[in-house]
Amino acid sequence: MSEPILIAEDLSRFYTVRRGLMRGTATVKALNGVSFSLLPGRTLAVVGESGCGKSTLARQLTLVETPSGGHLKIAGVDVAVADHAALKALRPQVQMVFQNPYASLNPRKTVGATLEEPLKLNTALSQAERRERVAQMIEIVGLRPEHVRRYPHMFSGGQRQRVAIARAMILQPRIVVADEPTSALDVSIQAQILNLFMDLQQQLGTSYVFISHNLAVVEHVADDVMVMYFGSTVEYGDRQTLYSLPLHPYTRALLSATPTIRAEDRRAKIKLQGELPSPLNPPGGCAFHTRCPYAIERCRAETPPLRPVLGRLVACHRAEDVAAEEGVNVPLQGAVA
Amino acid sequence: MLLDIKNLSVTFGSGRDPFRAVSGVDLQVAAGEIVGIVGESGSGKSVTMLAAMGLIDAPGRVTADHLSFAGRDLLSMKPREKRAIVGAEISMIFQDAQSSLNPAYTVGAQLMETLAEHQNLKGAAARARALELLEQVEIPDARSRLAAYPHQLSGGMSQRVMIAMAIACNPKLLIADEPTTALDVTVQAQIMELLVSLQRSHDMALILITHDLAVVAEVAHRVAVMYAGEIVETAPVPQVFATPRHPYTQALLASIPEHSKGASRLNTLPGVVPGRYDRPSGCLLVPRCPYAEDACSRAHPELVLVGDAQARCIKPLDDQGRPQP
Repeated sequence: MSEPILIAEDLSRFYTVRRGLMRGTATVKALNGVSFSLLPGRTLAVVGESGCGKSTLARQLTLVETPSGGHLKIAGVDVAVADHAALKALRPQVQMVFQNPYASLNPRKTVGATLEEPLKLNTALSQAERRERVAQMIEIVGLRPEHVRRYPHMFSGGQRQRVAIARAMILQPRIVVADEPTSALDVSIQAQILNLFMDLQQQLGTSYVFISHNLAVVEHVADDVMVMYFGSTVEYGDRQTLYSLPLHPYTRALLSATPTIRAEDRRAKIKLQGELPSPLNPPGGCAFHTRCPYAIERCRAETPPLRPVLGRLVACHRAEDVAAEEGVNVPLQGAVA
Repeated sequence: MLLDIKNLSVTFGSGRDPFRAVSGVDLQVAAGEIVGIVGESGSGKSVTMLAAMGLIDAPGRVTADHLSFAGRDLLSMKPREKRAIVGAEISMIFQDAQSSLNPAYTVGAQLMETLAEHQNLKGAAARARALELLEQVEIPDARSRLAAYPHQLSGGMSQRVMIAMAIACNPKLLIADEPTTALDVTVQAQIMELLVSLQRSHDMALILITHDLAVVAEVAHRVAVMYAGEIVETAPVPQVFATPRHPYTQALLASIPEHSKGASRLNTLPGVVPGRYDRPSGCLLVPRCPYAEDACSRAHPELVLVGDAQARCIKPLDDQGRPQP
């Protein structure tokens, strides 16, 4: 098996926020010790609701921000200790596709200029060579050659997202971080864009970090799934394992809340109480205990560690009880890894 | 029929260069019924409902053969009479609750304004009713929320406040325009559950405008599918999901990821919704329809009855999802 292209170990990012005059500052732990790895040509989906740290994670992976703690290794380079030149060489390897293609493209630049810019900044190609690369890329993402002379406002949402994908792919990055790339699009267009992502992965072997809150989309694209809540990983494993028997109460709530068309796929709705707690005033113990239907006294006092249960990692004191409820017995600790 | 719309059209733009955003929409909603209107952006879902409520301003023009609510003709009604109905007996909630609320007033003040306007409730009585409404929409700690400003509320809470305002006058019809699109899934589930339970307890009709077919599948009794300003199919739930009669409905269903579990590619509908200048003369789906033939381009199809469904197609699909011979 090949080496992971991306390894995160205990990755954290804290922000300091001012609480107002004379009240000092507070620390928001937007990303709190997240670990995962990604193999070349594979897709890791990061799932969670707003405020769970998904986008903060994306900003660390794309080297836009410096993590507050932990290690991030991209293509074998440790980001924390790398020098300026190494980071500069690394940046083209990680590209990003954003949620809203209406905001992520420069309205004053033609599509051709938008696609050429990364090549100008990062390669020594001549103008003719750059134009050729742009023309190739335009074709790969399913646009027509004359589109390079047009401006973003002349395109539909789906076409704009194709331009954004072309821009991310033109440097042939090893990793693409896609932050909710289809949630601003209609379903029929969403299907076209998801197909494009899958085709490009097959052709170019790119690894994806696919950030989404749509579990139906994630089930379609992901190899591995990491569910986040309040800045931490609550469950992490391969897609099949997670979807067939989700063990963390939050994963279960997310899956049950996702509406489905086929009645036989519907899970009994788990009603979560309330909403995400304030990041300025995090609850003690397990961060999910304020909304969790399984919460017991222990959850209020003790933060559950991420531990292996039934072939995935899960951070819940009651994972075994949840499994037992589904009729699955968990072998003794340590027997499964 | 509570709401009865026949041949509703909405036109925008100048006389020389008009654009029909909605054309020939027929829609009936019975008391206590949940109807889903689905379609992609620009298909005319929201405009249809705004027109029905009389909220299309000039230069938009609304025409209809018939438009009535609870037996009263909305077309011939004077604006003053209409205002007494719209906002009280018919109310509406929108996608982005946070921007639908006035940021300069407290939640309580905005609720009490509605009550003063439509029910002539003032002072302590209005306050008590506002509190009761917030409790009905399950806002925790409702008493202190009366004094909260919209920016102090989360997205889900804001939508609950909007719902509280919408049900303040016990409407007979609530129109919800993408009520959960801006919300997280777990919050979306809470809001949908609230809407359905209010619909039952108040015996309201609910029109749910959405692009999310799965939401409609879970709660609606009947669905109308819109494409490029027209209703292309109306059918009861869940039949429409098992045996869609119109090729567009079929393609829309097939493009949802949950329909292609395990497949490496999703089924897609090629192309995009035709723009205002490239509408084909016959059936509007011809450039994208896998079953299109010569006859489809010749004449614009009418809605035809297929079992308990209606489809705007000359060869509606059979139970196996193939065009009828």
